[in-house]
Amino acid sequence: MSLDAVLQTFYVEAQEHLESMENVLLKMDEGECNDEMLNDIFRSAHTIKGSAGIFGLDHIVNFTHVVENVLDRARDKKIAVEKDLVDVIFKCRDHIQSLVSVNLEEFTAQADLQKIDKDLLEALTPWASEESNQAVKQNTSPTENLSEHKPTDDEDNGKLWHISLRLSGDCLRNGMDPLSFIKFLTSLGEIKHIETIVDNFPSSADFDAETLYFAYEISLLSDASLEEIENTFMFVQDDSDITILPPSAKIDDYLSLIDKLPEENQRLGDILVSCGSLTKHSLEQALISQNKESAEAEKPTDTHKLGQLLTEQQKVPEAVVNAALSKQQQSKSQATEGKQIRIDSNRLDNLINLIGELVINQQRIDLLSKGSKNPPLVEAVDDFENFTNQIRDAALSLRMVPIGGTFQRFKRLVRDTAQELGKEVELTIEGADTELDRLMVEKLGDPLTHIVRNAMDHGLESIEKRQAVGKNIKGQLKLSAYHEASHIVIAISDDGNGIDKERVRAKAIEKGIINSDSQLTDNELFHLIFHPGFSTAAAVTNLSGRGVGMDVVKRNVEALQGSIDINSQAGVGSEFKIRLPLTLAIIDGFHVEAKGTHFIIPQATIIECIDLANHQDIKARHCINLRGDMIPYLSMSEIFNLTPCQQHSIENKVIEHEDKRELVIVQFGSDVAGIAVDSLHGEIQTVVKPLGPIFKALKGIGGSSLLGNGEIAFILDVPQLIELAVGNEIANKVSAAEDISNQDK
Amino acid sequence: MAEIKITQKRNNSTEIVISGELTIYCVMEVFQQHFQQINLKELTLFKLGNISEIDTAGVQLLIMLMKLVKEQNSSYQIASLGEALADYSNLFQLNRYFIDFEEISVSTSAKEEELQ
Repeated sequence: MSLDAVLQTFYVEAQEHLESMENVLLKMDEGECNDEMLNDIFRSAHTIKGSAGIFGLDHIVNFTHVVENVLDRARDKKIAVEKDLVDVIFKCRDHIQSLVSVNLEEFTAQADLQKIDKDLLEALTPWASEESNQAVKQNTSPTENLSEHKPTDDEDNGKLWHISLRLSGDCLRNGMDPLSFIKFLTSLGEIKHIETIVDNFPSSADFDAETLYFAYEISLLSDASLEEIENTFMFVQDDSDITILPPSAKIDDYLSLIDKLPEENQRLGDILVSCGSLTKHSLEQALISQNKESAEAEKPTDTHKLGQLLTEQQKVPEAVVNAALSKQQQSKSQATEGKQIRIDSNRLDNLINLIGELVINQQRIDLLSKGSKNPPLVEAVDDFENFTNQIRDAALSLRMVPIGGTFQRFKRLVRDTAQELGKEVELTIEGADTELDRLMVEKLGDPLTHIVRNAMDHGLESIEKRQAVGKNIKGQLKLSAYHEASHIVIAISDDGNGIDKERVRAKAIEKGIINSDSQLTDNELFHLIFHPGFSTAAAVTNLSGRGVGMDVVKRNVEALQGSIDINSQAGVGSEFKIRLPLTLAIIDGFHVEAKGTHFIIPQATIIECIDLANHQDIKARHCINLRGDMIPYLSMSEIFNLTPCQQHSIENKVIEHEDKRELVIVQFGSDVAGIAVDSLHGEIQTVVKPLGPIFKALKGIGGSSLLGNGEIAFILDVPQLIELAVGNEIANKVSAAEDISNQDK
Repeated sequence: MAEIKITQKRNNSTEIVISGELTIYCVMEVFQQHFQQINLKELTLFKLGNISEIDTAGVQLLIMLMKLVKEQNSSYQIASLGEALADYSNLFQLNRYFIDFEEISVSTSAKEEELQ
């Protein structure tokens, strides 16, 4: 791993810790506070500080150190966690985020960042200073104070950790100098002794100047926890041998360490003695007993029995030792049980692309095998197809992430926005575990932010208004996610005022978006808010009201092959429903053809296929009567102005408009429409390749795909086509009505 | 980048002067170019007073040189020790190599002048 890669890991992990801090702070802001939460937030700050220290990011270390101290005092109950403190820690958390995004030189050059740094450190002073202890200390009982006091010598002995480091030989080459770790350990306590072991040096002929040959035995006097000390080595622990013995470690732990390490036992024993971790006498006694026992038993040394013996002799508190060891083992077993690895998302994208190529090739083989009329080959290719499908699904699932992470970020947004607007808002999250393609999750952030801000700014009423209409003063905002067919629905709802239809109408007329005599349904009226430049807010605020938000929302959602619906009821509230496909990379499609041009219809949207000739086609209306329902349909050849291609048309036969025979009935949300094509070719796995920007204006096409025979097929954007069909149907209705009235005249 | 000057002296000694930054970025080149094939005389005199920056890779190189001295049955003296190296030596308690090494030949600037 190069230094850049390790730094990248630091940034990613720092971001995770900042998110974790934010989540805990949000709970604290709601009045919830317990030891576990304080430990969590402290650990996050501490880990950021520790990791930053390893990279020499002193600006982060210096600031986070003070925050960490304040949090530590809160953990020790020296200061109370009040709203004021939570507010300041919130700001500190944001500042740490800013600090993480700059390096030391950039920080030194940015006066505004330094000013914030200084201001926040000043703001923390009331909680950082010793005087602030008193208020809480007065509440503690005299016995508690007495129990805290221990004689200095005992205290020191009780804090002496032993750290044995056999770091990876590649450590230096990867940009990790043990110097950084040792320097950081000095921030956790006092290094009593370091023994730098040089036994592993090779002869001069084999010496590689970039390989680490040093090994270290360290005794550290520290109040830090095992986890804190372990975190110092988090970037090298995977390929290094690191043993941390707690202050309460038994002598057999040290003997196990001596046995485990490659150096000679007696020498290591001496090193431990010089570190102060063992006394010379106890080491000698232990080694003599160990040798004696092993000689008697004529078998390899049983250090465990010896350890028990010595523990008994020394009367080491067994419970304390066991607790410390079980904690150590627990943390190690948790690390292995999790079995999670961090992968660069580009690598994952590359894998998906390669699987896309595999799918295309598989289709080609499938085509060739069917042409060969060789049954065993066809059977083998069928099996191959089955496995390809499984590989495809497994690979796509790797890129699926829960939407919860995105939703959680809105808690902070809602808190800050509510404060800014002077409103009280409660955010409820449902379906946080619902999984969605990572690429979509990333692109959803902006649209969701716009909708949430709009809901809070325009939807939810002020406290006074809510009181006046008898509503709870706390406005309710709900973010929920759930699966619906092969789509995911993300709903944002509020219990506010609802969309004022009259105001929307008036504004649309004023802006020239609609005519004053236009007759629009509620849904059409609501969709006007997505029109570029539309805004009903009387005043432009920082949050919304510039009229640039909602049209961006619609564009972003459509770019993800999704759609957005609005339900709103005056005085009751509004709901925005974003409907998205589960993935954009590889989909199951249905292959159709019109005038020699190939199209793919996403299979999840298809209800059924019917023979158009068997159904009554209402003339000039592009509408059929399907079991009593009027279904509008679109003819592909008309929509895309297709002319028969000599090369691709079936047997050079020109298929006329009237010849279209097949109708694929599709559904999106509650809308149903038909797509008229010349022929149906069946199910096909489709690797979605985006169309270039030049085709952006082309409505109804969501992408392209390569067929097994090398031809290109266009993937239909069903929501856009349905919109088009429904729009045409309305226009046809109007013109039919006009015709009738003209005939009457 | 470190600057290396090696002088084979008539008094059966080898003088090695290292100055500048002795870090991971140059240790490989320094070792291969100057020390891999070196022949040391009876006494090796290190002048390390002008090392402005040193890291673990640099210190390892110096300790390797001291092992090389031993391999070639030479003995060594340190005529001067820069601040960066002294700090590292103190932190990692490596003084037995750089200050309190055998044959007690702790050299100060004054001693350096004497030897010259």
